[in-house]
Amino acid sequence: MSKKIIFESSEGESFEVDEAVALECQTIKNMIEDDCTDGGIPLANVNSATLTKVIDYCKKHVEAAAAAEANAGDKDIYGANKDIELKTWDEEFVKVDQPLLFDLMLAANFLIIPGLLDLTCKTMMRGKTVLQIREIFHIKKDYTDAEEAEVRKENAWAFE
Amino acid sequence: MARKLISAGFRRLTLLETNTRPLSQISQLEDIPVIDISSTDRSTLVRQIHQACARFGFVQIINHGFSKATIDEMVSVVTHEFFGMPMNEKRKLYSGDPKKTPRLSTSFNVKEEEVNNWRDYRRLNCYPIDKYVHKWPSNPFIDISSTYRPQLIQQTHSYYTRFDKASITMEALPNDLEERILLNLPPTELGTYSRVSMRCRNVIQSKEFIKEYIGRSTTEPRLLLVETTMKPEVLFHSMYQQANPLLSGKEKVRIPHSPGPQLHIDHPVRGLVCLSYETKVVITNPGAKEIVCLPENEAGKQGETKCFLGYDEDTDVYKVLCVPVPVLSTREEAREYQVLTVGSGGESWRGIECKHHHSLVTNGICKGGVVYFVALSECRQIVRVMSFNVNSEIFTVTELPKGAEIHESFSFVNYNGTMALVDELSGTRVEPNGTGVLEMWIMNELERTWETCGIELPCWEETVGSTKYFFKGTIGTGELVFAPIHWFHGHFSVLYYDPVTHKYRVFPIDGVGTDYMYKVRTFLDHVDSPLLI
Repeated sequence: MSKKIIFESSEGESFEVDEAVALECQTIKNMIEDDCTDGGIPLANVNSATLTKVIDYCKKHVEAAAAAEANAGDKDIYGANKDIELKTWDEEFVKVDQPLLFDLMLAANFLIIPGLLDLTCKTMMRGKTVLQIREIFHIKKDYTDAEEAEVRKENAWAFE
Repeated sequence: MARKLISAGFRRLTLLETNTRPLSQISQLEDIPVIDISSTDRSTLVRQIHQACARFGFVQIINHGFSKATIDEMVSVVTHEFFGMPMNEKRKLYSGDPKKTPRLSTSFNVKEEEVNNWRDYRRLNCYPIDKYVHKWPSNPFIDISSTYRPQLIQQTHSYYTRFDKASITMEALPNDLEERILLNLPPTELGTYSRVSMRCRNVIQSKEFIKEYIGRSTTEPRLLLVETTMKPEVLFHSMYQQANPLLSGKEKVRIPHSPGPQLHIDHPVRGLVCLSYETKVVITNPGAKEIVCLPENEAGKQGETKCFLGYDEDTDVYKVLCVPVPVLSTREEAREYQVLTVGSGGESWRGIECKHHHSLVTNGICKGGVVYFVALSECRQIVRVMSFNVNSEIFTVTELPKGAEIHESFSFVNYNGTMALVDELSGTRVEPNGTGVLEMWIMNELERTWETCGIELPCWEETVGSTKYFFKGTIGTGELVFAPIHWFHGHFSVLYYDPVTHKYRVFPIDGVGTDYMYKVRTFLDHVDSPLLI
């Protein structure tokens, strides 16, 4: 039976995970190496909903890595399909509302999970319009209307 | 322990040595940030606090909602009544353990610091207030005034709710997360972001960001296909050249109003492609769908020219070199070499001197701050390699190997990191047994010497069938990439050959060649760039 690690969310809820899953987080890996995980790890800035998702992500990626290792010989045929499957899973995984996506990104940043951090960063602004970005990230338009028109102007094609 | 306190009860005229910090440990801070916390401009406020914390670690807050009377009262209570208490009362509250709350102490860390700060303090934690309020003083000597406590509770609550992370702002993100988000965006969406605000635009246009973005893209190089048809347009198709499955991440950009197949398409340089036709020269960033028109090129009026984009990493400068092309018709040949520095503001063409007047024969390629092309001497008898140093603007001539018949259908390619000249027209020679032989001249850029190289391609004839594939260079996996140039109605595909396993892979590319007749130029190692946005 593998060693278990206990996370505690900001609401005080406990989550028990396999050590291998917890090791996906560099921050936790350091704590495990320093042997200071007894009595659970309090994650005061990660709420239960976010933590559940983070654990799902780590579990999936640990399983995928184990499967890839088991099939290392057949990388060409089998491995490529597995890569696609994991990518598709990742894409589905980040189909969440903006606040949860934001919390996931901050959690990945804090726990140092590079894969999840890139995945959430990649999704954060994808396909958003100028107005949507201003609204979601509370960015004030500091262009004057004239400057904005200049920036937005379509480039005329030279060979006309 | 409590003897370390300044307020230990002794009246002193001079400071103890343990309270005197050497000058070398004292920083001279000026302009400590003063922040108006009552401001309603939330994003500016967040940015100010973020910057202050990053630079100084503390701020001075004004308009915080505490009345002067309350503060004065607090100061007089604390200074006079609290620190004036008998030593044995104060000793009960003294602690050197930073985790203990509330406590009385001095300096930052009494246990470790050799020189103590010139102050004592009384710390009362206040957030979350429910957790600490019962620990606040109930000592008969001190009962912090009834006005201060409720006001403090109310204020801290209001600050914390205002800065709750429920509302997201870019400036408040930790650890350069904004940059990380932006590095993950494709160039077209960087364009969208740059239109959000001036600050956003400045982030994307910073030198550091551009370098980081291109560097990241270099690890996932792209195949760039530039297609011209009989219609007046240019189509750019790009896809990851080493991805598994290969050729994913497809992007297509259509640029209207081009002269069609006569358009000169230069080799891409750090994500930018220079297109030229007669006097017109443009630089495109196909990934970002952006185009910049350069001033008209006067030399193009005298005769036919071609333009090459060059980049010098040390000076971070892009320049366009305009070279005359020999013409067989009655049209006069342009005489002048011209250079234009891109992005210099008020860009203009400058004529530059070339001691060895040569006119262009092949296509060019830029590598390590030098643009290489094959050119014909003035007497039109000698063919040489010309190299143009982008920074110094000096031309160097390299003789071609004796016996090498290099003509205009030759092209420079990257062969495992070195430059090689291959014949794009005759392509691969086929032996009677069906084996293909790819021949090329490999150039040693430092010693300017040449060696010939022949690569055997087993079962070439049966693999390619009737398709004419031309060598385009090698990619990071060591594979050789071949692609057709001209095509008449049919599916376009690229061919990869692995010289270690002797295996071929053919990848049909959808969306190329939907017109009846088309011409495709294929480039390797194209990257995404945030320039021109």
